Amino acid sequence: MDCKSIEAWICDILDGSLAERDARMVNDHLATCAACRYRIQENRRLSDLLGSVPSMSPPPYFERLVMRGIERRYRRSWRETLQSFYEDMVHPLRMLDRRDLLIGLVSLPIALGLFLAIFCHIQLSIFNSQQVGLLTFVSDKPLVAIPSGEARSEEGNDAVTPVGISSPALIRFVESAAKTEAKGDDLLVMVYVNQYGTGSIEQVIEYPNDHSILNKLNTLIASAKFRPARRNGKRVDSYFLLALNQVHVLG
Amino acid sequence: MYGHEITLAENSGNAKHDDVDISLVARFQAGDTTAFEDIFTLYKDTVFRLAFRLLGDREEALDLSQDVFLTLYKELRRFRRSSRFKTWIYRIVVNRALNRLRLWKRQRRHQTISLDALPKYHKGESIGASLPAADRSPYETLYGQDVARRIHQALALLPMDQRAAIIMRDMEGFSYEEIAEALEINLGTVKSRIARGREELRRHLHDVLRTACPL
Repeated sequence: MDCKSIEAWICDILDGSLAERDARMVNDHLATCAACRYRIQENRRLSDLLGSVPSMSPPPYFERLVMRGIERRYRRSWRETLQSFYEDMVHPLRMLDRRDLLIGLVSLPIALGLFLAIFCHIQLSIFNSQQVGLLTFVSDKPLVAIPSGEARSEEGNDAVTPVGISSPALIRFVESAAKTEAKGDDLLVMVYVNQYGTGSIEQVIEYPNDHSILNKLNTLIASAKFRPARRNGKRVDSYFLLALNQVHVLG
Repeated sequence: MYGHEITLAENSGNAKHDDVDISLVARFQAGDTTAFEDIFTLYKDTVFRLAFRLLGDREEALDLSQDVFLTLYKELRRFRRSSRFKTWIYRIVVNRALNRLRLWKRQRRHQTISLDALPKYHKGESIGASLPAADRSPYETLYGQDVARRIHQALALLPMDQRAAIIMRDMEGFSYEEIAEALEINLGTVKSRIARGREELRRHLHDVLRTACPL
Protein backbone atom coordinates (compact mmCIF):
# COMPACT_ATOMS: atom_id res chain seq x y z
CA MET A 1 0.00 0.00 0.00
CA ASP A 2 1.30 3.45 -0.92
CA CYS A 3 0.12 7.06 -0.56
CA LYS A 4 -1.61 7.00 -3.97
CA SER A 5 -3.84 4.13 -2.89
CA ILE A 6 -4.76 6.01 0.25
CA GLU A 7 -5.74 8.96 -1.94
CA ALA A 8 -7.91 6.72 -4.11
CA TRP A 9 -9.65 5.11 -1.11
CA ILE A 10 -10.00 8.20 0.98
CA CYS A 11 -13.81 8.33 0.76
CA ASP A 12 -14.12 4.73 1.91
CA ILE A 13 -11.55 5.30 4.65
CA LEU A 14 -13.50 8.28 5.99
CA ASP A 15 -16.78 6.38 5.79
CA GLY A 16 -15.25 3.31 7.41
CA SER A 17 -16.62 1.21 4.58
CA LEU A 18 -13.42 -0.64 3.69
CA ALA A 19 -13.31 -4.40 3.67
CA GLU A 20 -11.48 -5.85 6.64
CA ARG A 21 -8.45 -6.85 4.64
CA ASP A 22 -8.18 -3.44 2.96
CA ALA A 23 -8.66 -1.66 6.29
CA ARG A 24 -5.78 -3.61 7.76
CA MET A 25 -3.53 -2.61 4.85
CA VAL A 26 -4.54 1.02 5.22
CA ASN A 27 -3.86 0.97 8.93
CA ASP A 28 -0.46 -0.54 8.31
CA HIS A 29 0.36 2.27 5.92
CA LEU A 30 -0.98 4.99 8.19
CA ALA A 31 1.09 3.70 11.05
CA THR A 32 4.20 4.60 9.09
CA CYS A 33 3.07 7.63 7.00
CA ALA A 34 2.48 10.89 8.85
CA ALA A 35 1.51 12.75 5.65
CA CYS A 36 -1.37 10.36 4.95
CA ARG A 37 -2.50 10.49 8.57
CA TYR A 38 -2.55 14.26 8.35
CA ARG A 39 -4.43 14.17 5.05
CA ILE A 40 -7.12 11.89 6.47
CA GLN A 41 -7.42 14.00 9.59
CA GLU A 42 -7.87 17.17 7.55
CA ASN A 43 -10.35 15.50 5.21
CA ARG A 44 -12.39 14.38 8.17
CA ARG A 45 -12.25 17.84 9.70
CA LEU A 46 -13.24 19.40 6.38
CA SER A 47 -16.14 17.00 5.99
CA ASP A 48 -17.37 17.79 9.52
CA LEU A 49 -16.98 21.49 8.94
CA LEU A 50 -18.92 21.40 5.66
CA GLY A 51 -21.66 19.41 7.32
CA SER A 52 -22.02 22.01 10.04
CA VAL A 53 -22.52 25.00 7.72
CA PRO A 54 -26.13 26.03 8.24
CA SER A 55 -28.47 26.50 5.34
CA MET A 56 -31.80 28.20 4.99
CA SER A 57 -35.35 27.04 4.90
CA PRO A 58 -37.57 28.30 2.14
CA PRO A 59 -39.67 31.33 3.12
CA PRO A 60 -43.22 30.71 4.38
CA TYR A 61 -44.74 32.05 1.17
CA PHE A 62 -42.85 29.50 -0.94
CA GLU A 63 -45.71 26.99 -0.95
CA ARG A 64 -48.20 29.64 -2.07
CA LEU A 65 -45.78 30.72 -4.80
CA VAL A 66 -45.43 27.22 -6.21
CA MET A 67 -49.09 26.25 -5.92
CA ARG A 68 -50.17 29.47 -7.56
CA GLY A 69 -47.69 28.87 -10.36
CA ILE A 70 -49.18 25.42 -10.87
CA GLU A 71 -52.72 26.77 -10.75
CA ARG A 72 -51.91 29.36 -13.36
CA ARG A 73 -49.97 27.11 -15.65
CA TYR A 74 -51.59 23.70 -15.50
CA ARG A 75 -54.76 23.39 -13.51
CA ARG A 76 -57.13 25.99 -14.82
CA SER A 77 -60.33 25.03 -16.53
CA TRP A 78 -61.81 27.35 -19.16
CA ARG A 79 -64.25 28.64 -16.60
CA GLU A 80 -61.46 29.48 -14.17
CA THR A 81 -59.45 31.14 -16.92
CA LEU A 82 -62.40 33.31 -17.89
CA GLN A 83 -63.09 34.12 -14.27
CA SER A 84 -59.49 35.10 -13.73
CA PHE A 85 -59.54 37.23 -16.88
CA TYR A 86 -62.70 38.96 -15.64
CA GLU A 87 -61.10 39.56 -12.26
CA ASP A 88 -57.97 40.95 -13.89
CA MET A 89 -60.12 43.33 -15.90
CA VAL A 90 -62.39 44.38 -13.06
CA HIS A 91 -59.75 44.51 -10.36
CA PRO A 92 -58.17 47.80 -11.55
CA LEU A 93 -61.63 49.39 -11.40
CA ARG A 94 -62.05 48.15 -7.84
CA MET A 95 -58.79 49.81 -6.97
CA LEU A 96 -60.10 53.23 -8.07
CA ASP A 97 -61.63 55.41 -5.38
CA ARG A 98 -65.11 56.84 -5.77
CA ARG A 99 -63.88 60.20 -7.00
CA ASP A 100 -61.94 58.64 -9.88
CA LEU A 101 -64.91 56.46 -10.71
CA LEU A 102 -67.23 59.48 -10.76
CA ILE A 103 -64.87 61.40 -13.03
CA GLY A 104 -64.76 58.41 -15.33
CA LEU A 105 -68.53 58.03 -15.39
CA VAL A 106 -69.05 61.73 -16.16
CA SER A 107 -66.29 62.08 -18.70
CA LEU A 108 -67.33 59.02 -20.68
CA PRO A 109 -70.69 60.44 -21.87
CA ILE A 110 -69.02 63.80 -22.51
CA ALA A 111 -66.41 62.16 -24.71
CA LEU A 112 -69.14 60.18 -26.45
CA GLY A 113 -71.21 63.34 -26.96
CA LEU A 114 -68.23 65.19 -28.39
CA PHE A 115 -67.56 62.37 -30.77
CA LEU A 116 -71.18 62.32 -31.90
CA ALA A 117 -71.23 66.11 -32.32
CA ILE A 118 -68.14 66.06 -34.53
CA PHE A 119 -69.54 63.17 -36.50
CA CYS A 120 -72.91 64.90 -36.96
CA HIS A 121 -71.23 68.16 -37.91
CA ILE A 122 -69.44 66.41 -40.74
CA GLN A 123 -72.62 64.74 -41.85
CA LEU A 124 -74.58 67.98 -41.64
CA SER A 125 -72.02 69.89 -43.63
CA ILE A 126 -72.32 67.30 -46.34
CA PHE A 127 -76.06 67.57 -46.26
CA ASN A 128 -76.00 71.35 -46.16
CA SER A 129 -73.74 71.56 -49.16
CA GLN A 130 -76.83 71.76 -51.29
CA GLN A 131 -77.65 75.08 -49.73
CA VAL A 132 -74.39 76.91 -49.39
CA GLY A 133 -73.74 78.19 -52.83
CA LEU A 134 -73.49 75.14 -54.98
CA LEU A 135 -75.59 73.87 -57.74
CA THR A 136 -75.59 70.22 -57.05
CA PHE A 137 -78.04 68.52 -59.29
CA VAL A 138 -77.50 65.06 -60.47
CA SER A 139 -78.81 63.39 -63.58
CA ASP A 140 -77.79 60.43 -65.67
CA LYS A 141 -77.95 62.69 -68.77
CA PRO A 142 -75.64 65.65 -69.39
CA LEU A 143 -76.97 68.78 -67.71
CA VAL A 144 -77.43 72.21 -69.16
CA ALA A 145 -77.09 75.31 -67.06
CA ILE A 146 -79.77 77.85 -67.78
CA PRO A 147 -79.37 81.57 -67.05
CA SER A 148 -81.48 81.47 -63.89
CA GLY A 149 -78.81 79.28 -62.32
CA GLU A 150 -80.89 76.16 -62.49
CA ALA A 151 -79.84 72.96 -64.09
CA ARG A 152 -81.78 71.07 -66.63
CA SER A 153 -81.26 67.75 -68.27
CA GLU A 154 -82.15 66.97 -71.80
CA GLU A 155 -85.28 65.31 -70.45
CA GLY A 156 -86.27 68.39 -68.51
CA ASN A 157 -86.14 69.37 -64.84
CA ASP A 158 -88.11 66.35 -63.63
CA ALA A 159 -85.15 64.13 -64.41
CA VAL A 160 -82.81 66.20 -62.23
CA THR A 161 -82.33 65.32 -58.58
CA PRO A 162 -80.52 67.42 -55.99
CA VAL A 163 -77.67 65.63 -54.30
CA GLY A 164 -75.04 66.37 -51.69
CA ILE A 165 -71.36 66.15 -52.37
CA SER A 166 -69.81 63.50 -50.21
CA SER A 167 -66.38 65.03 -50.03
CA PRO A 168 -65.80 67.44 -47.11
CA ALA A 169 -62.51 68.65 -48.62
CA LEU A 170 -64.24 69.59 -51.86
CA ILE A 171 -67.08 71.29 -50.02
CA ARG A 172 -64.68 73.30 -47.87
CA PHE A 173 -62.73 74.42 -50.90
CA VAL A 174 -65.74 75.46 -52.88
CA GLU A 175 -67.23 77.28 -49.90
CA SER A 176 -64.07 79.22 -49.20
CA ALA A 177 -63.51 79.95 -52.87
CA ALA A 178 -67.07 81.20 -53.14
CA LYS A 179 -66.57 83.55 -50.23
CA THR A 180 -63.24 85.03 -51.14
CA GLU A 181 -62.25 84.57 -54.72
CA ALA A 182 -65.11 84.11 -57.07
CA LYS A 183 -67.57 86.71 -58.20
CA GLY A 184 -71.01 85.77 -59.49
CA ASP A 185 -71.00 82.70 -61.67
CA ASP A 186 -67.26 82.85 -61.93
CA LEU A 187 -67.00 79.11 -62.00
CA LEU A 188 -69.57 76.77 -63.38
CA VAL A 189 -68.49 73.27 -64.29
CA MET A 190 -70.26 70.10 -65.22
CA VAL A 191 -68.88 67.12 -63.33
CA TYR A 192 -69.13 63.61 -64.67
CA VAL A 193 -69.44 60.84 -62.05
CA ASN A 194 -69.17 57.26 -63.17
CA GLN A 195 -71.11 54.43 -61.57
CA TYR A 196 -68.17 53.65 -59.29
CA GLY A 197 -68.25 57.16 -57.75
CA THR A 198 -65.16 58.59 -59.47
CA GLY A 199 -65.61 62.14 -60.75
CA SER A 200 -63.96 64.39 -63.31
CA ILE A 201 -64.73 67.78 -64.85
CA GLU A 202 -66.72 67.11 -67.99
CA GLN A 203 -67.19 70.65 -69.14
CA VAL A 204 -66.19 74.12 -67.96
CA ILE A 205 -69.16 76.37 -68.51
CA GLU A 206 -68.02 79.54 -66.77
CA TYR A 207 -64.36 80.33 -66.48
CA PRO A 208 -62.91 81.90 -63.32
CA ASN A 209 -60.37 84.71 -63.48
CA ASP A 210 -58.06 82.76 -61.29
CA HIS A 211 -57.02 79.58 -63.05
CA SER A 212 -55.53 78.11 -59.88
CA ILE A 213 -59.06 77.75 -58.50
CA LEU A 214 -60.03 75.61 -61.45
CA ASN A 215 -56.86 73.54 -61.15
CA LYS A 216 -57.38 73.00 -57.46
CA LEU A 217 -61.02 72.08 -58.04
CA ASN A 218 -59.99 69.62 -60.72
CA THR A 219 -57.57 67.93 -58.31
CA LEU A 220 -60.14 67.76 -55.55
CA ILE A 221 -62.81 66.29 -57.81
CA ALA A 222 -60.38 63.70 -59.09
CA SER A 223 -59.48 62.62 -55.55
CA ALA A 224 -63.03 62.80 -54.11
CA LYS A 225 -65.43 59.93 -53.87
CA PHE A 226 -68.99 60.63 -55.05
CA ARG A 227 -72.21 58.89 -54.44
CA PRO A 228 -73.24 57.57 -57.85
CA ALA A 229 -76.79 58.17 -58.99
CA ARG A 230 -79.20 55.27 -59.13
CA ARG A 231 -81.89 54.53 -61.60
CA ASN A 232 -84.29 51.65 -60.98
CA GLY A 233 -82.02 50.55 -58.12
CA LYS A 234 -78.95 50.29 -60.33
CA ARG A 235 -75.97 52.54 -60.27
CA VAL A 236 -75.63 54.70 -63.37
CA ASP A 237 -73.18 57.26 -64.68
CA SER A 238 -74.34 60.77 -63.88
CA TYR A 239 -73.57 64.45 -64.15
CA PHE A 240 -73.87 67.38 -61.84
CA LEU A 241 -73.38 71.06 -62.14
CA LEU A 242 -71.16 72.77 -59.68
CA ALA A 243 -71.15 76.53 -59.43
CA LEU A 244 -69.47 79.01 -57.15
CA ASN A 245 -71.33 81.72 -55.31
CA GLN A 246 -74.77 80.50 -56.19
CA VAL A 247 -77.58 79.61 -53.91
CA HIS A 248 -80.08 77.54 -55.72
CA VAL A 249 -82.07 74.88 -54.12
CA LEU A 250 -84.20 72.87 -56.35
CA GLY A 251 -87.81 72.72 -55.34
CA MET B 1 -51.67 14.21 5.31
CA TYR B 2 -48.14 12.91 5.30
CA GLY B 3 -46.56 15.25 7.81
CA HIS B 4 -46.55 12.53 10.45
CA GLU B 5 -45.47 9.80 8.06
CA ILE B 6 -42.58 11.89 6.79
CA THR B 7 -40.97 11.82 10.20
CA LEU B 8 -41.54 8.09 10.39
CA ALA B 9 -40.10 7.65 6.94
CA GLU B 10 -37.01 9.63 7.74
CA ASN B 11 -36.46 7.76 10.92
CA SER B 12 -36.91 4.34 9.47
CA GLY B 13 -34.58 4.72 6.54
CA ASN B 14 -34.51 5.01 2.82
CA ALA B 15 -36.69 1.99 2.04
CA LYS B 16 -39.64 3.43 3.92
CA HIS B 17 -39.01 6.81 2.31
CA ASP B 18 -39.03 5.23 -1.14
CA ASP B 19 -42.33 3.50 -0.34
CA VAL B 20 -43.89 6.83 0.54
CA ASP B 21 -42.55 8.27 -2.70
CA ILE B 22 -43.95 5.40 -4.74
CA SER B 23 -47.38 5.69 -3.16
CA LEU B 24 -47.46 9.47 -3.66
CA VAL B 25 -46.40 9.20 -7.28
CA ALA B 26 -48.97 6.45 -7.87
CA ARG B 27 -51.69 8.60 -6.34
CA PHE B 28 -50.73 11.53 -8.50
CA GLN B 29 -50.53 9.44 -11.65
CA ALA B 30 -54.00 8.07 -10.85
CA GLY B 31 -55.30 11.62 -10.99
CA ASP B 32 -55.16 12.66 -7.33
CA THR B 33 -53.51 16.06 -7.65
CA THR B 34 -53.53 16.57 -3.88
CA ALA B 35 -50.70 14.04 -3.76
CA PHE B 36 -48.54 16.73 -5.23
CA GLU B 37 -49.02 18.85 -2.12
CA ASP B 38 -47.65 15.99 -0.05
CA ILE B 39 -44.71 15.60 -2.41
CA PHE B 40 -44.10 19.30 -2.09
CA THR B 41 -44.21 19.14 1.70
CA LEU B 42 -41.80 16.23 1.65
CA TYR B 43 -39.21 17.77 -0.65
CA LYS B 44 -39.49 21.54 -0.45
CA ASP B 45 -36.74 21.93 2.17
CA THR B 46 -34.25 19.64 0.47
CA VAL B 47 -34.87 21.13 -2.96
CA PHE B 48 -34.51 24.67 -1.70
CA ARG B 49 -31.43 23.88 0.42
CA LEU B 50 -29.71 22.09 -2.44
CA ALA B 51 -30.51 24.91 -4.83
CA PHE B 52 -29.27 27.44 -2.30
CA ARG B 53 -26.01 25.59 -1.65
CA LEU B 54 -25.36 25.19 -5.37
CA LEU B 55 -26.21 28.75 -6.37
CA GLY B 56 -25.25 30.65 -3.20
CA ASP B 57 -28.08 33.12 -3.71
CA ARG B 58 -31.40 33.03 -1.91
CA GLU B 59 -33.55 34.63 -4.58
CA GLU B 60 -32.04 32.53 -7.33
CA ALA B 61 -32.54 29.43 -5.21
CA LEU B 62 -36.17 30.35 -4.68
CA ASP B 63 -36.69 30.89 -8.36
CA LEU B 64 -34.97 27.64 -9.26
CA SER B 65 -36.93 25.68 -6.65
CA GLN B 66 -40.20 27.01 -8.00
CA ASP B 67 -39.09 26.09 -11.48
CA VAL B 68 -38.22 22.58 -10.30
CA PHE B 69 -41.63 21.99 -8.73
CA LEU B 70 -43.45 23.30 -11.79
CA THR B 71 -41.41 20.93 -13.95
CA LEU B 72 -42.13 18.14 -11.51
CA TYR B 73 -45.87 18.75 -11.73
CA LYS B 74 -45.73 18.66 -15.49
CA GLU B 75 -43.44 15.66 -15.85
CA LEU B 76 -44.65 13.52 -12.96
CA ARG B 77 -47.24 11.68 -15.05
CA ARG B 78 -44.43 10.48 -17.28
CA PHE B 79 -42.19 9.32 -14.40
CA ARG B 80 -41.56 5.60 -15.02
CA ARG B 81 -39.69 4.62 -11.84
CA SER B 82 -36.56 3.63 -13.72
CA SER B 83 -34.73 5.62 -11.06
CA ARG B 84 -35.66 6.49 -7.51
CA PHE B 85 -38.08 9.35 -7.26
CA LYS B 86 -35.98 11.46 -4.94
CA THR B 87 -32.83 11.13 -7.04
CA TRP B 88 -34.93 12.08 -10.05
CA ILE B 89 -35.88 15.30 -8.26
CA TYR B 90 -32.29 15.95 -7.20
CA ARG B 91 -31.20 15.42 -10.79
CA ILE B 92 -33.62 18.09 -11.95
CA VAL B 93 -32.33 20.48 -9.27
CA VAL B 94 -28.68 19.84 -10.06
CA ASN B 95 -29.13 20.05 -13.82
CA ARG B 96 -31.06 23.30 -13.58
CA ALA B 97 -28.55 24.76 -11.15
CA LEU B 98 -25.60 23.75 -13.30
CA ASN B 99 -27.28 25.31 -16.34
CA ARG B 100 -27.68 28.55 -14.45
CA LEU B 101 -24.11 28.47 -13.21
CA ARG B 102 -22.85 27.88 -16.74
CA LEU B 103 -24.94 30.79 -17.94
CA TRP B 104 -23.56 33.04 -15.22
CA LYS B 105 -20.04 31.92 -16.03
CA ARG B 106 -20.52 32.82 -19.67
CA GLN B 107 -22.01 36.17 -18.77
CA ARG B 108 -19.28 37.00 -16.28
CA ARG B 109 -16.36 35.62 -18.23
CA HIS B 110 -14.85 39.04 -18.69
CA GLN B 111 -15.49 40.26 -15.19
CA THR B 112 -12.96 40.05 -12.39
CA ILE B 113 -14.48 38.66 -9.22
CA SER B 114 -12.83 39.67 -6.00
CA LEU B 115 -12.21 36.94 -3.47
CA ASP B 116 -13.76 39.27 -0.93
CA ALA B 117 -16.99 39.36 -2.86
CA LEU B 118 -19.60 37.79 -0.63
CA PRO B 119 -22.23 35.52 -2.01
CA LYS B 120 -25.51 37.25 -1.22
CA TYR B 121 -27.78 35.22 0.98
CA HIS B 122 -30.53 37.47 2.16
CA LYS B 123 -30.70 41.21 1.84
CA GLY B 124 -26.96 41.36 1.37
CA GLU B 125 -26.13 39.44 4.52
CA SER B 126 -23.74 36.54 4.56
CA ILE B 127 -24.96 33.08 5.42
CA GLY B 128 -23.29 33.45 8.80
CA ALA B 129 -25.94 35.99 9.70
CA SER B 130 -28.47 33.20 9.64
CA LEU B 131 -26.68 31.24 12.32
CA PRO B 132 -28.60 30.82 15.54
CA ALA B 133 -27.14 33.50 17.77
CA ALA B 134 -28.93 32.82 21.05
CA ASP B 135 -26.38 30.34 22.37
CA ARG B 136 -23.36 32.05 20.84
CA SER B 137 -21.11 34.82 22.00
CA PRO B 138 -20.62 37.77 19.61
CA TYR B 139 -17.15 36.41 18.89
CA GLU B 140 -18.52 32.98 18.00
CA THR B 141 -21.17 34.53 15.80
CA LEU B 142 -18.62 36.63 13.93
CA TYR B 143 -16.28 33.67 13.73
CA GLY B 144 -19.07 31.46 12.33
CA GLN B 145 -19.96 34.07 9.75
CA ASP B 146 -16.38 34.37 8.64
CA VAL B 147 -15.86 30.62 8.35
CA ALA B 148 -19.12 30.11 6.45
CA ARG B 149 -18.13 32.91 4.10
CA ARG B 150 -14.72 31.37 3.49
CA ILE B 151 -16.27 27.96 2.83
CA HIS B 152 -18.68 29.34 0.28
CA GLN B 153 -15.92 31.29 -1.42
CA ALA B 154 -13.80 28.15 -1.61
CA LEU B 155 -16.73 26.10 -2.93
CA ALA B 156 -17.32 28.68 -5.63
CA LEU B 157 -13.77 28.11 -6.85
CA LEU B 158 -14.35 24.40 -7.45
CA PRO B 159 -15.33 23.00 -10.84
CA MET B 160 -19.09 22.61 -10.98
CA ASP B 161 -19.12 18.80 -11.05
CA GLN B 162 -16.94 18.56 -7.93
CA ARG B 163 -18.90 21.28 -6.17
CA ALA B 164 -22.21 19.49 -6.76
CA ALA B 165 -20.82 16.18 -5.52
CA ILE B 166 -19.29 17.70 -2.36
CA ILE B 167 -22.38 19.70 -1.51
CA MET B 168 -24.59 16.65 -1.91
CA ARG B 169 -22.30 14.43 0.13
CA ASP B 170 -20.80 16.59 2.86
CA MET B 171 -23.40 19.30 3.27
CA GLU B 172 -26.65 17.50 2.47
CA GLY B 173 -25.64 14.02 3.54
CA PHE B 174 -26.68 12.13 0.41
CA SER B 175 -25.39 8.61 -0.08
CA TYR B 176 -22.92 7.91 -2.87
CA GLU B 177 -25.59 5.93 -4.69
CA GLU B 178 -28.00 8.84 -4.56
CA ILE B 179 -25.35 11.20 -5.86
CA ALA B 180 -24.42 8.78 -8.64
CA GLU B 181 -28.06 8.50 -9.71
CA ALA B 182 -28.70 12.21 -9.50
CA LEU B 183 -25.59 13.16 -11.44
CA GLU B 184 -25.92 10.15 -13.76
CA ILE B 185 -22.36 8.99 -13.18
CA ASN B 186 -20.94 5.82 -11.67
CA LEU B 187 -19.95 5.36 -8.04
CA GLY B 188 -16.23 5.51 -8.75
CA THR B 189 -16.59 8.86 -10.48
CA VAL B 190 -18.60 10.20 -7.56
CA LYS B 191 -15.91 9.22 -5.10
CA SER B 192 -13.08 10.58 -7.22
CA ARG B 193 -14.90 13.88 -7.74
CA ILE B 194 -15.47 14.17 -4.00
CA ALA B 195 -11.87 13.26 -3.22
CA ARG B 196 -10.48 15.75 -5.72
CA GLY B 197 -12.89 18.43 -4.57
CA ARG B 198 -11.93 17.91 -0.94
CA GLU B 199 -8.24 18.16 -1.81
CA GLU B 200 -8.89 21.43 -3.59
CA LEU B 201 -10.97 22.73 -0.68
CA ARG B 202 -8.29 21.68 1.76
CA ARG B 203 -5.83 23.83 -0.14
CA HIS B 204 -8.12 26.88 -0.09
CA LEU B 205 -9.20 26.40 3.52
CA HIS B 206 -5.86 25.36 4.97
CA ASP B 207 -5.77 28.05 7.63
CA VAL B 208 -9.44 27.63 8.51
CA LEU B 209 -9.05 23.89 9.01
CA ARG B 210 -6.22 24.37 11.46
CA THR B 211 -8.37 26.45 13.79
CA ALA B 212 -11.97 25.74 12.92
CA CYS B 213 -14.35 23.65 14.91
CA PRO B 214 -17.74 22.67 13.51
CA LEU B 215 -20.02 25.71 13.30
